[in-house]
Amino acid sequence: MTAPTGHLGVLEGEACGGPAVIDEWLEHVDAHMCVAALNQWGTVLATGCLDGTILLWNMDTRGLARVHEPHNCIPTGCAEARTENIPDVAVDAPAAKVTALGWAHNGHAFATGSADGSFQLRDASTGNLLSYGTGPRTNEEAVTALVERPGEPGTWLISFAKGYPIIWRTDAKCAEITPLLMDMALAKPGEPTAATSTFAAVFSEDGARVYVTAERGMLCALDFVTGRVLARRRLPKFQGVVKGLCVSSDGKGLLVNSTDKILRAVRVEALMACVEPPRHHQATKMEIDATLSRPDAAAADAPPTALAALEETAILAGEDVREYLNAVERLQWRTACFSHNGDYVVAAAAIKAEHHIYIWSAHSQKLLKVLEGPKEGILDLVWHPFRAVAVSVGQTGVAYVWTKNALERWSAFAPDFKELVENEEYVEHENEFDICGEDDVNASDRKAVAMGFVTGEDDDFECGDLELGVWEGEGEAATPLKCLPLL
Amino acid sequence: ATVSAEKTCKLGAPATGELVRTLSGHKKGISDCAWARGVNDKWLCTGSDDRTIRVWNVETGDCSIILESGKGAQDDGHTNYVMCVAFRKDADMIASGSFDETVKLWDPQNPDKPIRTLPAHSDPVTSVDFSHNKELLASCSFDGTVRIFACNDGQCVRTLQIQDPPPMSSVCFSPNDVYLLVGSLDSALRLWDHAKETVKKKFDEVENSTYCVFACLSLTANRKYVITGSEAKVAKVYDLVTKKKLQELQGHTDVVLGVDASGNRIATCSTDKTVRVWKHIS
Repeated sequence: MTAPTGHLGVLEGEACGGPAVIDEWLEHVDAHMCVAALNQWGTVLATGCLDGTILLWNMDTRGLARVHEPHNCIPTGCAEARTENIPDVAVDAPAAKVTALGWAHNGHAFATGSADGSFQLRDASTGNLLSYGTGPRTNEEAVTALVERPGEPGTWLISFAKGYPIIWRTDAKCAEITPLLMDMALAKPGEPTAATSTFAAVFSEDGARVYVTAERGMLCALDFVTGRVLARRRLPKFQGVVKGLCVSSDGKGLLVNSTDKILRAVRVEALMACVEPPRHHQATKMEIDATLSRPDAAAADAPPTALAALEETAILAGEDVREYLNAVERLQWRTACFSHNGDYVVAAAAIKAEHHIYIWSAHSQKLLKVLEGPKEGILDLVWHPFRAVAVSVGQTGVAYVWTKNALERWSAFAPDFKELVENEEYVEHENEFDICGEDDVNASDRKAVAMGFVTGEDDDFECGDLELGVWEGEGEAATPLKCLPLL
Repeated sequence: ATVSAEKTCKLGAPATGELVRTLSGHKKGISDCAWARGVNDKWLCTGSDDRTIRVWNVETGDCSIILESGKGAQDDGHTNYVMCVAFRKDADMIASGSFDETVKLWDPQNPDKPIRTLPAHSDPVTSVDFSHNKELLASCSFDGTVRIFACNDGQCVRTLQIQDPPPMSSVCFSPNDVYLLVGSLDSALRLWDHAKETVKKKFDEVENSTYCVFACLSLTANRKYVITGSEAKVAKVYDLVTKKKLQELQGHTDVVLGVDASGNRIATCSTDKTVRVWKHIS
């Protein structure tokens, strides 16, 4: 997932420091957007609306490419998911508001999560429902994040506002849901179920590990396949509840957003430096199910070392954690993420009637800029995977695209003129404007050669190959979909 | 596909030479047409003297999208003949150059108004081409300049011109997007390395001084050719590396205006109202 290099590399120099102005408003009649997600190339933006509609925008042209109506599925009380026999649209049930969006890595499908805890996988081009399911509890909790596992398409990690994150496998004939295996010691002793705690989970960039945050500022790395806890640390000076977690694009940093109004960036190396010895109590799926069904017994059954284990867990050293905050106004952060190159940490301030985006330098923790948009709150913020472009969704349901200030390079239009900062007196040379006797047909070319313009060698060089050929239909599912086809 | 002054676009099958379909709808003669690459050859756009650009679904023959001015309050379409059109790979953007000296970028899925209008030249724009990596757009014009723009923000990246520039008639990117083949009305073709702003090769005696004769690159596995039409009633084939003229494709009885190469075939069309398809025999 490398940024395309090329002749534009010069124009996008980092000296400009990131997006500065709103370039474009994306709005659609009657659509009240509330969440946004960019696919892995940044070419298509998916936005979810309050009424469950999904809009797909082409980021190159900033035009609306698709409008997908909400697909109502009858939510059931227990965890289940289906890929076959998907019921037709349930007419009476109103579609729930979209609370989270995630793109599949091949760009062909996206997943949406709703306020009632249900989630769906839909085809990007046609909008067809491919698979759906609901979360594993009766009190429906909104979905907060949907992440596809890198390298394993069809496996998604779904986090809820409360309760354990689950793993959803869509490609199996009957999609299965498995709660993310968690070390029981993470649960607070005396708590009947872990259902009231908030967890946030993301994959590492190779998909091998899952990073999870738990209560009291605990940050863990789990091996995805075995569920074993690999490393565990506590965040320093942590108070409050975790709101969000995200990974930087190079996989080396984690950003934790919490209700104590401080954003913390942790180096993954520092977290993994202490590898967890396997002597700690490891929960298995059966034990978790048993606990859930016997809530009262859990307190008694919890290993006596639970609280002690929590206290024992080492706190991350101060130098491994960087903090970002607004010290003066102590603002809550709606959502936060890293910039595409990891140089900046960006957050949307959760202020009711102000659209402020804060940008800090990741290394120096200094606040660099505050982008101010129209007078409305921010609902969501996403950063482009490799350009300095950001999209924010405002309270009124409109999405704003922020880009760098485009400086007009007028000198590009006339290469033989030089741009001056201020007027200069010009003193001509002795013979400069005299008329010479050259009248040759090829004078222009000879002058050009003299100036080093024309390289007359007859050497062979690479021109690239023309793609001959028709695209075979069978390859279609495998080739990534970067751009929605014209309808 | 060929377009003509009789306001229609005709689609032919190159293997058999028969007419497959005629697309009508434009109100005046058509100057250029472009296929959308990479999407199974389904879409074709044409630019016409009636100042509009139409996008056709080739399978059904319908004109699904018309890009023009005058819809509602937005009066952003071209104000003069549309001379040339180009489709970006994956059919997500169309560029059109016109006698009104601007280049406009359109999104075919939102045809109401152009995405951007580029104040590209000071004379009619004769040819536009997108780069294969979808990032750049090249345009050339009678004012003697070739300008390269960035697609995502419309900024001019570079201007290529030689001393005493003759009017330019055609541009074509090489498949690796490093080189640009530019035809001009001084009967020469130049292959530019546009990043370094140098001319890598120059081909003479093309005989192009009145009409906008088109040239293109044909790069198959072992062979690299430059193929160009000419006013000498033949299509000329040059070797890209040695600059020697290898062959003249005889048969037309008038100016050969347009050429295009695909696989081992070349199609040429001419003001003698015929289209010929040539096959490479190795």
